[in-house]
Amino acid sequence: MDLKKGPFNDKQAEKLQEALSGLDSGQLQWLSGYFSGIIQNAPAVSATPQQQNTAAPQAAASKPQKLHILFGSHTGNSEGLAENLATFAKEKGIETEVSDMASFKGRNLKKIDNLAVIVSTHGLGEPPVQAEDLYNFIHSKKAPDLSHMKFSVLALGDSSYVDFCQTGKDFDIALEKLGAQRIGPRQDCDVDYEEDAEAWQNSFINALAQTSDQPAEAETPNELAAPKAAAKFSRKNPFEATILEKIELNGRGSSKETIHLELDLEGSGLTYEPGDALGVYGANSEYLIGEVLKATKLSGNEEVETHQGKKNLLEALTYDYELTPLSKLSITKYAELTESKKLKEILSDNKKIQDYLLGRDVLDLIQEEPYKLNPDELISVLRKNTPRMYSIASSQQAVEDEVHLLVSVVRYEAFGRNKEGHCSTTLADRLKVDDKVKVFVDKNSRFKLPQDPEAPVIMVGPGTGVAPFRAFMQHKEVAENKGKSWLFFGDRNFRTDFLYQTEWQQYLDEGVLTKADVAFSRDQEEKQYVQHRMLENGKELYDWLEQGAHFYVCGDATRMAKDVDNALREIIQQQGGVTPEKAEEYIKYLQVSKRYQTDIY
Amino acid sequence: MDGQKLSDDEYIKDKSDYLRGTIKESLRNPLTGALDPDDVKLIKYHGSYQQYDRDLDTERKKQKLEPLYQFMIRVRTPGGITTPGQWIALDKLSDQYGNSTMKLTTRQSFQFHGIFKNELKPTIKAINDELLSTLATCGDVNRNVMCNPNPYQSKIHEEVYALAGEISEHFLPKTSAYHEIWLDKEKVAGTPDKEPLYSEHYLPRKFKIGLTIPPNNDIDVFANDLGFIAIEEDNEIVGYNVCIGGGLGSTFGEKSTYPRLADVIGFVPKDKVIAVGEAVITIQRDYGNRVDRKNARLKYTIDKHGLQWFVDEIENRLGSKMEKPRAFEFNKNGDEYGWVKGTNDKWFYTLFIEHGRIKDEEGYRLKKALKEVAEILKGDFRLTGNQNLIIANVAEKNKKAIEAVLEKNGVLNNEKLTGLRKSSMACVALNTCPLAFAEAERYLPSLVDKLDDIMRKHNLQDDEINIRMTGCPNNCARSSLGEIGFVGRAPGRYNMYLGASHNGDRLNSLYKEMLSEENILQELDPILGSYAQEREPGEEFGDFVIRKNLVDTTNRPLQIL
Ligand code: SRM
Ligand SMILES: Cc1cc2nc3c(=O)[nH]c(=O)nc-3n(C[C@H](O)[C@H](O)[C@H](O)COP(=O)(O)OP(=O)(O)OC[C@H]3O[C@@H](n4cnc5c(N)ncnc54)[C@H](O)[C@@H]3O)c2cc1C
Ligand SMILES: Cc1cc2nc3c(=O)[nH]c(=O)nc-3n(C[C@H](O)[C@H](O)[C@H](O)COP(=O)(O)O)c2cc1C
Ligand code: SF4
Repeated sequence: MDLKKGPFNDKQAEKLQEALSGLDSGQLQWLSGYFSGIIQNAPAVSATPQQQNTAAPQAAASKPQKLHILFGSHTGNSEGLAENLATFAKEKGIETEVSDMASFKGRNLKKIDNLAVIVSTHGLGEPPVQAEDLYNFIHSKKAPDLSHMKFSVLALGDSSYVDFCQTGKDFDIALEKLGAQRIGPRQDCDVDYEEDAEAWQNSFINALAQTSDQPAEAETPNELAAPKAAAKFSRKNPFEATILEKIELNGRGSSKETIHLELDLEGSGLTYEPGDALGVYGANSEYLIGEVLKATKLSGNEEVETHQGKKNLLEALTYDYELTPLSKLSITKYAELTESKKLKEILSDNKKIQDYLLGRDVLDLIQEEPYKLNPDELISVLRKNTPRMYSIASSQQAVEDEVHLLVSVVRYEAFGRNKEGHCSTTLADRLKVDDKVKVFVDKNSRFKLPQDPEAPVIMVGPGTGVAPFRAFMQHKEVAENKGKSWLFFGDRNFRTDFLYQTEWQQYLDEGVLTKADVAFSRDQEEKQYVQHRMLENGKELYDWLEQGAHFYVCGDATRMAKDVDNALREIIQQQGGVTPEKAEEYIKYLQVSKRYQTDIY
Repeated sequence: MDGQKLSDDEYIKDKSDYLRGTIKESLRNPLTGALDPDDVKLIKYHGSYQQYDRDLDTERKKQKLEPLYQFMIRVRTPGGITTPGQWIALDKLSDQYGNSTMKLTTRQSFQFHGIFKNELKPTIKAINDELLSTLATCGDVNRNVMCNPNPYQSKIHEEVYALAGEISEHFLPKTSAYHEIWLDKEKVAGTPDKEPLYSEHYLPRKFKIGLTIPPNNDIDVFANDLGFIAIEEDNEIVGYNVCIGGGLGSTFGEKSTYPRLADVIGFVPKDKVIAVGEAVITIQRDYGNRVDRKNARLKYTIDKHGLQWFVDEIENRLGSKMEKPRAFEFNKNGDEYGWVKGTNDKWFYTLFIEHGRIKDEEGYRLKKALKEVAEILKGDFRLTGNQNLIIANVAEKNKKAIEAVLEKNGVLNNEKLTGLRKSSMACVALNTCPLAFAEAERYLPSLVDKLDDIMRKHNLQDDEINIRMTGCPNNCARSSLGEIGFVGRAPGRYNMYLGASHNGDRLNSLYKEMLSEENILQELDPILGSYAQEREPGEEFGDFVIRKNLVDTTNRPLQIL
């Protein structure tokens, strides 16, 4: 295009020609925005007609799809700029949404077509605390493909720091790596950021307006759609899931050990719903295997016949059989081999068997009744490795290819040795992030959210019992279902054992969760449990039931579930003013109408 | 500021119903260890700050646990004096509810850290049971009143100290919210709260008053919004020089904020002191900036309207003129250590307490020692403005017993006590202060170790050079008045300031920015070396660096009208 045709005298035209020659399209695009910016700020008269119908009005004319503004701010500057940009964009007729990285869920990046990132740098080149989660997310292997996205970054910083605007730079690169296309270059701002920020804002909005004519090839994946491949993986043929994330949830000084696990199901075709469980195969610890080999004077290199075919003993002991806990089968087999009077005596009486099993493992058995086992005899005594079930703590609608678990680690001292739970310590001690673990989905149709999304739900889940309710909440949030919800949670100490505390707080703020009551047993003299909170709230709880609430209990079967059940009966009697018999009927009715469901273990 | 949007705090005060807010409800919420955001602001007026253990911040975030919220409680001790009985009680509280340490502050009060929400009420109640209070130790009101704990002129001190107490009492908020929330006092029906002095919106910002007795300026009187300098004539106090507009805090990158020393504006007889206080406070109440808290301190009100305007306004409200300031002289703003005898023939022992932290360490059982001293002490304890402690009013015959206790617990004549260390001050900073950019109290001791090697090398180990460090430019340990001052910029990085006077009447100036420990040592070694070589007789370090033009003295000097 010949500048001489423009509203310039020849001298101006040449100067411009010279200045513009050799600029690439990105730079030119930036300039066009820069000029439109100058126009905004220049008195109207100074703008010639031509100039006016270039950048600015065009931006107003064509509406690009929604612009999403993400800010990460520690002292508020970026936040302020985000708001400016939003107002500016709205004036240009562009629909905008502003989010704080502090509460923005990384997986929602997928749903964004046009993104403006405004972020500062803190510490020594680190992201502001508020942006840490998102920052880590886009740098993690969980980060989604963003090839449909257009973006630009405004970085705030202070040039007296070595890592000037580092966080902004990192976001810029990370987004590019994920396939997003940059419209308008990143702008790094020093402490006096106003002007640079404004120039960037103008060029960005302008560039956005121009790109919008060809709608971005947004292929937002339909999250709700189930994978095509029917699940070929099963208990018999478990899937090897990669561990993506593993976090000990109990704060320092806690007397508990509970871990949050995130596994990758990608490519497995496995699907699950809130309320389902995941079956997990553990492996025995080197220590215990070593002790057993010592006790049996075997090397581990011996070849043995297993239910999985021929294997060497060490491998078989590691993956195919269990050394803990002790099972009746093992005692029976061992008694036959050893012809031990003592064992036969025990086997004669179930009570005695129970007492003997409690806290013992195969090593205890072998040590207490010594006998020279050959490799195949040893195998014959052992119970096949059986999977453990874990209530799924995530909703596939929210986490897609992932599955989350909440695992309480079993450790105890018995018969002079520290005993370790077979599967929970496999997950806690023997597997780390990036390792693989054998899993399968175990459907549970008897623990499901109400058909009616409006129906209130009451969730009682102390300790790891809270796992499925996290899945419930994730589901309610994504499905935007309106029904009221009420959580009863309990554990030992408020400060260290409030599992998923910050998530519950956020669900409450967002209204996804309506009400929460907690009981921490060891924070005061007299022990307090969830059933106490239920009774304190008896009237309201009964009202909810009368409004058709579904009542869910998950977790410990030995005591908690019974106590909660009794509390429920008591409430129905008191509030309903009925006899124990009538209360019994009420409970029965809840159960047959699937409004009283339990997932207890 | 008509029509303008006021700072958020102003709206919070406005709807707080005289500082009640929803504190009671917040205390009951079982789902969080924190208070409702508005109550976080309001509880300051009750003497507590919500904080969290910053060391565990990232860790707990990952664990999906909220920050480990905990509270700091600040006790009101005008002039910094407590009885042995009170000391024992506070010591016990720090173990029962706190983190088993006590912090002696730069304003002569006590702080507890690590109090959890459910422990707030019992702690505050227990403090009140000891006839101490936490009311208005924080918030936009008059804070703890400082008074030079002068051990020498006992009689004079008694009088000034009494006045400090009177001022403290006089400028307390009158709301009964405190007693309702913490002491279970019922609000008497039909008695609406009144704040005759403050109004229901209180002040635009915190307000600080200090009194001192020349030649001692250990309270840094010029750092206060309002300061009174006792003037003696033949061992009688005849009145006070008044100084206004001190304040040391600033914000990086905000030119409109700066440290400023108070100006000496006049002299008033004793019986006018309270009236002057009322005048200054009400002017600040009426003219102070309620839109931008960063420009709300008295110093900015004065600079906005002009010093003379302010003085005239004071005299209007007083209904009389102030006299010209009387002559006075300060020799130092640091403390003297060891035993001295007062004019009352009692003995006073000033004990160095590194950065005011009372705790027990291997071989240095300070907390235990002081508890044992309290058990035998007939006199009293005095906190100094430099985070140190005076064991006061000890009879000749009891000195030995007290020394023995200190000795036994490894607290007496600690050989690490060089001139530099004795003159060091550091603010709390990490892990409790939410505003800290860098370490201070937890770091300065090790930096002083390294600097002492340099000092010894130049044979300066006995020179008392004021060295002060704060974790941010709020200046809580008055680093702007350190002959060597450090202000945290980021983890492990400090701005270094030099050239304050040795007696608190000249601010220091920026020497270099963003120094690491290595840089600091490299920078200071040659400067200290040349000081050792080239100083003039009696020349203080701060004055030396100015004479050598190592920093410019662009800082506004304090004015004496
Ligand atoms: C404990 C103490 C420092 C120490 O190590 O001794 C302290 C500690 C804090 N100061 Fe300070 N200030 C303390 C004396 C000072 C002083 C020195 C003085 O008054 O002589 C100053 C400078 C003088 C002045 O006021 O300008 C000071 C200026 C500040 C400021 C800046 C105020 C300003 O207008 O610029 C803040 C921040 C604020 O108020 O917004 C602050 C805020 C704070 C807070 C409460 C942080 C906060 O707002 O959340 C710190 C609590 C840290 C902690 O974990 O305990 N503190 N603070 C001192 C307590 C004094 C007392 O007993 O009342
Ligand atoms: C449907 C379902 C859902 C479940 N959901 C979850 C969940 O979400 N989270 C979770 O953590 N668990 C859950 N469980 C329990 C889980 O399946 C395992 O049982 C648990 O992790 C222990 O397995 P382990 O292999 O680690 O321990 P094992 O090796 O199986 O050892 C457990 C055995 O050790 C013995 N033992 C344990 N403690 C002691 C003691 N103090 N003294 C003496 N003997 C003791 C007992 O015999 C106990 O049965 C669920 C179970 C079911 C059936
Ligand atoms: C403690 C601290 C550390 C900082 N570190 C850096 C840094 O390493 N690099 C940088 O470019 N800016 C740094 N800055 C400057 C901030 O990024 C800058 O002030 C920005 O405007 C803050 O924006 P925000 O208010 O949105 O957080 C730091 C600021 C502070 C207070
Ligand atoms: S100076 Fe800054 S870091 Fe230090 S205590 Fe004060 S506010 Fe906190």
